[in-house]
Amino acid sequence: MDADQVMRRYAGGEDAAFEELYTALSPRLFSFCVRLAGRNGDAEDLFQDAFLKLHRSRATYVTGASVLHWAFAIVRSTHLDRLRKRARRPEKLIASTDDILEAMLETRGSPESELHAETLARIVEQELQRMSERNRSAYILLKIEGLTAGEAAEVLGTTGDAVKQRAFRAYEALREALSRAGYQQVSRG
Amino acid sequence: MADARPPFDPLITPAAPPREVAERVRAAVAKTPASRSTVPRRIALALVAAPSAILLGLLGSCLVFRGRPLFRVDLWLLPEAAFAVRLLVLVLLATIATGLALMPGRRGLGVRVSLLLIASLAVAPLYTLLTMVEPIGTAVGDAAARALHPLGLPCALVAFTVGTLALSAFGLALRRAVPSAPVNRAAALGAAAGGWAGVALFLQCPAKNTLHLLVGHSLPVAAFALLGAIVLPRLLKP
Repeated sequence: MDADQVMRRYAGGEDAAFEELYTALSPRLFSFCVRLAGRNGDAEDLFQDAFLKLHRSRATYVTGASVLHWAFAIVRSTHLDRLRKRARRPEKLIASTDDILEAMLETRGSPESELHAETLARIVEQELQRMSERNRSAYILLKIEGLTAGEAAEVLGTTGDAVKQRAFRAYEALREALSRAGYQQVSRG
Repeated sequence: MADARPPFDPLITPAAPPREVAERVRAAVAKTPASRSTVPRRIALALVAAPSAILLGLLGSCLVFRGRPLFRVDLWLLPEAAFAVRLLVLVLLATIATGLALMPGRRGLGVRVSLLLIASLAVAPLYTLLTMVEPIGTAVGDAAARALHPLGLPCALVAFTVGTLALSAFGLALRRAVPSAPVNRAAALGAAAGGWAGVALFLQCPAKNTLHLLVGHSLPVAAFALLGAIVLPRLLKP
């Protein structure tokens, strides 16, 4: 199923395409929300708000553009609005919920490797929540979602160089956190 | 480093949202109306609106300031080539800024931020250069200009009217269509609106006085980029 094609139909007014679009987009968008917002409740609210905005502004989708990148930009814009609404309070570090981690790790092998993977994922999640929103979003888009620097720059509304710098700072912070936790063999990206 | 991945990345795989979240999204979507008006259609309307704003602003100024002519009094006496070239360049400046600000870009998220910044920052200085360095005029125009406000406050009002009309049209064209870099996009839209306001002033006002041109013409043109950046982002975001 090509999400861009489905979005084109949905943007054209075909309401029935919503379910297909939701199926195509929701896993990656929800994961993006979890990584941006961290806390489970927040991520769910962010996901709902963002999807509603995507629906409301569906006629503004440009045919031929990547719907995923467009949706990432909507999620990030919604996230920033929510942060501003919280009266510029700094985000508190709260670990991700076990539900989310379980969902992320459900396809692991042996109990040892599961534990190992879960520990790593937990450290990464915690460190992602600790860093600035700019560095976090750049890192997620570039290193986890696999966007190019140019694509991430357009989603984040900045330059490719700025995205690379932010992602590098995030990467260094993650490397340091993993190193503190005893993972020494993390090579530079 | 952009191409490499740290070794822990494969651990993180997409997680589907819980079923109750999906139900909440479906319910919210079902009761929320969505716009059907496509962005290309709205942009086309906005492009028609910009020149219309000039005409409306100039007509309005004739009604508000009695005795103020629709076009500069020496319009037909000006050296044709010099006037045509300068007008063309001013229109081109406004058109390029408008294009950069309105274009959806390759990925539907607008043109690059660096181009938006250039559009936002370049219009006012270029306009000032084009209108203040060796300003064109005639003896008839100079005589008429002596009766004008020294600071060009009526001109500033004309610029404000034309710019506001153009900015409103541009804002409506991109309403809820800018999820990325809304402030940069809004500033570029403001600069474009200021560019069109500048064209209106060039067509109407024969003043060559530096203070008049700076305060009454260039300042309002420059102010629109700032105004756009302050006022529009809320309208542009999805």
